Amino acid sequence: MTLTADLVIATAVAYVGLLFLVAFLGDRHTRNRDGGFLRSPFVYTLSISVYCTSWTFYGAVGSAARNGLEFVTIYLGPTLVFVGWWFILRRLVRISHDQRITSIADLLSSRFGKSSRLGVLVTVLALIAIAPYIALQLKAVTSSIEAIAGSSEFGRGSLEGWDEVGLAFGVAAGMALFTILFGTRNVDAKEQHHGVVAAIALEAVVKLTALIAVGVFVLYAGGGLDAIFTRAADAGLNIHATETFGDRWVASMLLAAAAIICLPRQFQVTVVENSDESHLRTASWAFPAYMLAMSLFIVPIALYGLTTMPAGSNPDMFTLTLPLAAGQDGLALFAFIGGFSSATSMIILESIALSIMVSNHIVVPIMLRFSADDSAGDGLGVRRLLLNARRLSIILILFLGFGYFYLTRASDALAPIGLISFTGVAQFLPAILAALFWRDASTKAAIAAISVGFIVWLWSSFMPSFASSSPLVAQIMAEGPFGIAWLRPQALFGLERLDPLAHAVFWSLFLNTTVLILGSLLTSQSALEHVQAALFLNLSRKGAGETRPLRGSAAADDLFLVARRVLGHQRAVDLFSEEAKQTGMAWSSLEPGPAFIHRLERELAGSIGAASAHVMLSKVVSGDAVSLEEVMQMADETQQAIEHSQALERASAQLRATAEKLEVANRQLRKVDLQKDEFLSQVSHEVRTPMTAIRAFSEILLSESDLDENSSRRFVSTIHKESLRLTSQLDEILDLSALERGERVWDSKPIDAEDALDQALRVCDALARQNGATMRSGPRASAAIVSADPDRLSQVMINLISNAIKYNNAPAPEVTVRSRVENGHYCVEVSDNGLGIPDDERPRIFDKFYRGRLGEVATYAGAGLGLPISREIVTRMHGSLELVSDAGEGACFRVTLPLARRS
Amino acid sequence: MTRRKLISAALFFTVFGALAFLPPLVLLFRFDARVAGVPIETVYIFVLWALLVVGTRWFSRVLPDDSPGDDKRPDAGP
Repeated sequence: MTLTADLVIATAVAYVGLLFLVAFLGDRHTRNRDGGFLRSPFVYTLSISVYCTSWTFYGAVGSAARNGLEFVTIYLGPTLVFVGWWFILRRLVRISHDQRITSIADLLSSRFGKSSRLGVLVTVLALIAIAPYIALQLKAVTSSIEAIAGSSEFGRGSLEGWDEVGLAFGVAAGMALFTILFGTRNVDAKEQHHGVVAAIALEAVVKLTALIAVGVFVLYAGGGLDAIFTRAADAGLNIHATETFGDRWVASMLLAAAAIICLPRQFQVTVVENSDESHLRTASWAFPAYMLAMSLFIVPIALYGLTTMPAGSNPDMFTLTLPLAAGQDGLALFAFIGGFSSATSMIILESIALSIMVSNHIVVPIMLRFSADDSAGDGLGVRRLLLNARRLSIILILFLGFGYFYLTRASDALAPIGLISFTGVAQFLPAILAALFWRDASTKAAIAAISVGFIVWLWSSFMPSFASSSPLVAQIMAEGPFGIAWLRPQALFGLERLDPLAHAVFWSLFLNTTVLILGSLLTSQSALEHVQAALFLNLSRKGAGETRPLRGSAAADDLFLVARRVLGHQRAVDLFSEEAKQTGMAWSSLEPGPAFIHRLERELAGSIGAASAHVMLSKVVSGDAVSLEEVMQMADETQQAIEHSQALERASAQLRATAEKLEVANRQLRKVDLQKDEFLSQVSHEVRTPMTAIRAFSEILLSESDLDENSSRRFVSTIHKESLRLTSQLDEILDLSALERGERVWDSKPIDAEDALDQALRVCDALARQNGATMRSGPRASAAIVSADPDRLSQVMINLISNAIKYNNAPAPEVTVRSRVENGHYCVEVSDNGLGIPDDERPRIFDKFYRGRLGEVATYAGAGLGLPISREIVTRMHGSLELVSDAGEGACFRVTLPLARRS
Repeated sequence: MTRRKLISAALFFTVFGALAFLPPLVLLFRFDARVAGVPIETVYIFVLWALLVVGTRWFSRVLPDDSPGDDKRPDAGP
């Protein structure tokens, strides 16, 4: 069998037919049953292996031949991301499931406040960044066909007369047709493509076995690893990685790690097509293992090719040319199919992913802007438009790839082209990480950051790739634009020591991240951003759908029209019937609540992206959704403020109360202090009088030696009398102050108050006789049991009676004592027939040391403490002592005591 | 190991895996020696890679099941 271009093209077409069949069967399989084998974690893992494109199949060998071990970084980066799947990929998958994310542009736009602008930006930039990558695949397929065609005399067959560009165009057109047939067959625009995934999984198996087959062949032909390496070393090749582990190593590993997250097709297979989160568990080790298997034979193939193939042959094609050179046509054909597999799977998925982004973020928003609300008549309209938009964008994507291929066809290596794309899509990484982990990242900052990163990328990575075809670019590369040296694309700001790749990666990602951080710190988030950010960050803590971005009410008819436009008649009917069943209302009277609107929005988002779904529903749902969200946010923030101010208020009220109490206490203290001073001065005054007398008489006794017996006796008796008075005064003072401080305790027990009164009368009998007063007994109570101390009660009675006797200046003094029981109280009245107490003295008679005018002149004046003490005692017995007589008649004091309760 | 420690272990496994592939650690293996004809640094990288696969397989089995339903996770990632 001789391989010709015709044969390989025919084989390729047949292979495509096989893939198509697999996809068709896969779709039918998932539709009939519930996924089954096609939803196994291994099919999922194999579909992720779309990461290994013809860049791996052909380019890795070329890269290994040129730069040694460096090619493994492209696989080590993703390996590390999958090893750490728990921290980034798991969150991505979960958030995307909950939010019905359809693409990487949708993810960013959804997180950053459903911003349409960000969605458009990411879509456009992804289109530009992926163009070199598509070109790489076109170049690889073209080169592989050329390699086979050039291998024999009649190899070109019907390709005679086609040059490389023509062939590449043919390949691009074929791929476009193929992808359109593949990816946009479904009338249903839902974003999971089980059939395609099945085909991709098959291709993953084909490319791995093909590469391993070539690897085994090389080992066999080369005589084992040892022989291959030894021969390479002998041929003067540097088999050791002397210069490998430098800045390029680090930069490309970082890029590859970023690419496995940021590449649109990787996001599509890893996140969007994921049907079960637990599949990620298997993929976490199985995908690195797949890449390890792919990489295992790369170095031997490269070294064997370098030592055996003629000088100047393209190392990128060793996988194909080595079997060809050895006459292994069958193996060569298998290798070609392997390489073709890796290219087609990449192109299919990448263009599907990109076309979804284009239709959801560019076409639908434009359509929404230009279509009136009421034009929703035909149910299929939107979906047909979507599919057509996707078909057009697939053509556009392949055309861009072809254009890039055409402009850069002079450079021959595959891997550097891929790295340009990687650097481009890596510009999404800071925003994605911020979306997952940083609540305060703002939309404005994200847009600015991605733009800045992309401009730097365009300048320092994308543009330089045209240097071989454009003298202008070459001149800018050498001298800088307009001769500005510090703007040279590969030595920005004078940074010349870095490898061009590391240079571009460093500046683009550094400036990108810096703008994102500073921008987020300086700008503030809108209400919707705030809500979405919280949703993205709290997703693992609470279920989705806690917040309802769209609220308000809408007519069921309007909502149904929108749903039918996007989801198709059947699904719209299903959705609404289910809601009608749940709420138990008839179809016609259905009133969609916020929960239903929210669900509808998520369903729509699954087809046209979050931003477009939001815009579309906002048009129908009445009530200002955003103002409600603002209210929510404001409520969130003001709640805290209110709590703070309430706490403050409570604290200050407490302070005020305390201050008032303090003031009261202070006033009391001052009053008491004043009373104390007054009391002290009065006591001093009272004590002073007898002391003065005692001193005067004792001085006389001491100085007058010739005093007669009589006088000295009189003086001594005066001294004695005064000291007695002094003692009694001091006793009373002590007694009163003790009473006032509550220090005197006595036993209150039920006693007959009449007994105490009788005893007092007996005691005062002598005094009355001495003063010539008559004691009259008025009506008396028979018996009155009060709770009191008998001695103290007598003391009060004695005091009152003796006062009545002593201060009675009537010619025939009379004292009358009456007692009675009334209203549960026991009353004793002591009255005399004296002058009574004048009006002006009445308020003061209970003051301490107040004796009244009569008291001043009375011969046996007391300290003026009798009444205060008595009142104190009666008060402590819960009774009262008061002056009841009017002015102008004799004084009358009344003691009232509550009767003791008989228990 | 507790659930939190397992998650921390998975994080450090990833971080140290990354460090082992990067200079300066990887430079330790850049000397002229060959294992079965293969340069030592190549062997190192592939063996490390295989170990990472094995370790991740272990982690993928022991890391807690964390479906959205029963989620009370206080940790959110690195």
